[in-house]
Amino acid sequence: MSAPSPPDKVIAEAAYWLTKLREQPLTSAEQQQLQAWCARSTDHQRVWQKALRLVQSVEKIPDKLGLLVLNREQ
Amino acid sequence: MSPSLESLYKDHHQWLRAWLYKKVGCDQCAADLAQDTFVRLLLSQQKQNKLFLEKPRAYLRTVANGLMIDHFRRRSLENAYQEMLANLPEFVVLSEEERLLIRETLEQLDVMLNSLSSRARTSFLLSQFEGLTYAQIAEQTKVSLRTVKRDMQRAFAHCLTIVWEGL
Repeated sequence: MSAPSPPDKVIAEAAYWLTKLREQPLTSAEQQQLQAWCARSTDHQRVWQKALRLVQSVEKIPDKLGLLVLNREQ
Repeated sequence: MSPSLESLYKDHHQWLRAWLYKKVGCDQCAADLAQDTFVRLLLSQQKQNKLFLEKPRAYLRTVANGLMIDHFRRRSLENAYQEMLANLPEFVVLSEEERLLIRETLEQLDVMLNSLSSRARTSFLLSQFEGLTYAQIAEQTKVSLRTVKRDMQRAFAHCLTIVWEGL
């Protein structure tokens, strides 16, 4: 069984940071904010680890493959 | 099995299997999906500690229908994926392990994208697989930058929930 779900708020905040990271590199002030955010609780830490792993996994998908498979006719 | 689920199974299993067979045209698929439907019912019963069904067949049909849609979506993803692998030479170099990871991620993204609006879906694909910036996406899809960011955030949140819960 998976671990108990983290609160939706933590997920939403992690998603906010992922959105920001995708936009442009974080400024050093933002990096500090993110670090402080991660340090708030084990939930925050665990969610952020998952988030980073998610980004890495998505990056491993070749663009063309991702586009053709996910955008396929259904 | 509690008496109510047991009688539910006894009374409706054959009917559900026949209903599914009419839909999918494959006896094995129908049997599997019917089984999965009752497993789903069992799990939700454990969670809620009760099983109250006023219209059992309508309920079973709804659950079975959802499972059937998931099943076909996974199968169409699998077909598209295999076709790409066979036809795009650049993927031959991928190791078995890389392929497994890629397929798993694609499956998660597929589920996630299906729960999004088509606008959010387009933004996500353009950002992740065409490398467009949010500003470029906003321009191309004629929505505000703020909307693009909000859609992206929603998509990432869905992804995280799916990754967390497993599929």
